[in-house]
Parts: sequence; structure tokens; C-alpha cells
Amino acid sequence: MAKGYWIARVDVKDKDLYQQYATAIAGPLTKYGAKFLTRGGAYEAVEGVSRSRNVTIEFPSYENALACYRSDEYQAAISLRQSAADSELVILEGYDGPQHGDPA
Amino acid sequence: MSKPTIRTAIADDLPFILKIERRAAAAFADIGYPDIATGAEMPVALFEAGLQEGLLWVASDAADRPVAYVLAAIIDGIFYLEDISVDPDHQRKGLGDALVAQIIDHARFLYCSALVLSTLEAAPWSNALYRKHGFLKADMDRLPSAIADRFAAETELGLPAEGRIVMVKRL
Repeated sequence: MAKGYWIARVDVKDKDLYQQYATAIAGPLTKYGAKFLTRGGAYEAVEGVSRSRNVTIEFPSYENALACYRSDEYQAAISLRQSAADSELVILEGYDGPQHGDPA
Repeated sequence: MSKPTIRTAIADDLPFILKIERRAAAAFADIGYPDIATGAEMPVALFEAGLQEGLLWVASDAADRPVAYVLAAIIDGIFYLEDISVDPDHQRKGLGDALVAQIIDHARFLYCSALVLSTLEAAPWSNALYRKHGFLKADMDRLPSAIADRFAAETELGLPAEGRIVMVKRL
């Protein structure tokens, strides 16, 4: 089954509120099997406009990724993020098909 | 030596964590603090809060059973190391080192201004480990009030006031 992903781009404006948000969402992230693939690491904006933090979170499935976002626990924390940061969040389905270089 | 597996704790880890806490506490008797070795356990509510807030991590063995943990809290924007323990059968494998590195990374991720802990100055494991990661002994008269309050609360829980220091790593 293809995995699911959250990709978030964030400019934090209020660090205290962001800390509250990040701790508030730990519960639902754990519940839905989230794994951070990228979070506070180095980045280079090679094209277009970027934000200072780029987070990629993997879920066991696309359905889990959506369910986590729609959960009461996560929904209760959204206003914290919206107050703490300018951000975009997209939820997407992974790709399980063949890749370049796969054996014929 | 392979890199230890560090992961955020889940509820099923709690019984292991509580057992590690007791087993590791026994070492305090060897450095003159028998009361810590046999004294009150860490309140379970602290671990439950850490679970809920994503501030409790474990190092696990090949069967994914916890053999060490670190518990943190955020106090007034300061990342506070509440407790770190390594099971005596798994010490000297770099697990404490890996757990401290994990919380430094997480404190940076959360934009915390500093990382703070209290420890017994006589504990040989703490000075070497924490200094390696850039912690310095704090002036007890100049602690932020929230940290001074936490230090006092820990003293009330049974940790000694004498010989216990606060260490700080600025981020």
C-alpha cells in the first residue's frame, strides 16, 4: 500500500506558540503512525519562494495521513499553528510504481 | 558499534521505562546517595505527560524493547531534561550520548532558547556526558525563576539540594 505524506512549509512568528503546537500534535502524530522524514535540517531554496522550515512526515497510508489531519486532536491544535506561523500544508499519496533504474 | 535505535516512546514502553528508572537509580548508592537509590519513584504522571507531548524517547534493543530513556519538558520556552536513565546491563554503549544528542536536536527543532538540567555534581556519568555536549554549570543565584521553581520542586520530591547542580546549554 502506498504511504501518505504531509509536506508543510512554515515561517515561525511566535516560538512559544509553536512549541505549544508541536507538543499538542505529538499525541495524534503518534496515534496515526507518523514518522518525520525531514524537519529542521539544512535546505537550499534553489527555485521560487521558500519558507524557513520544511517538514515532511510519513504515514503508513494516505488514509492515515488524512485521518490524522481530520482527527479531533489535530483539529484542536490548528489554531495554535495558525497563530504561531505562516504556513502551507499539503497531504499526498505516495507512489508505489516502478522507478528509473529498476531491473527490467 | 552500530548506531543505537532511538525513537519516541509509546504507551507500551511505560512498564519498561519504570523498570529502567528503578534499576538505574541503584547506582546512586555507590556515589553516596542511597536515599535516591531506594527513594520515591519518578511520578508516573511525568512520563505520561512526556508521552502525550512527544518529549519521551527510548533507546531500544534488537527486539525493540526500551533499554534507556530520556524524558523532557518545556518550561517557559526552556527545554528541560527531566530524567535520563540507561539500564545497567546496557551502559557504556553510547545510549546516554545518543539520547542527549536527540534532545538537543529536538530542542532546536522547537526553537527553545536553552537546554537545562539538574544533576548531582558527584555523579561521574553526568559531568563527562553533559560537558561533552556543551552543557556548563549554571550560577544557582541567577537561574530563571521557572527553573529555580522546578529545582525546588525536585528537592521536595526527595532529590538532595546539596551537591546538585544545574547545567545549561544555550541554543
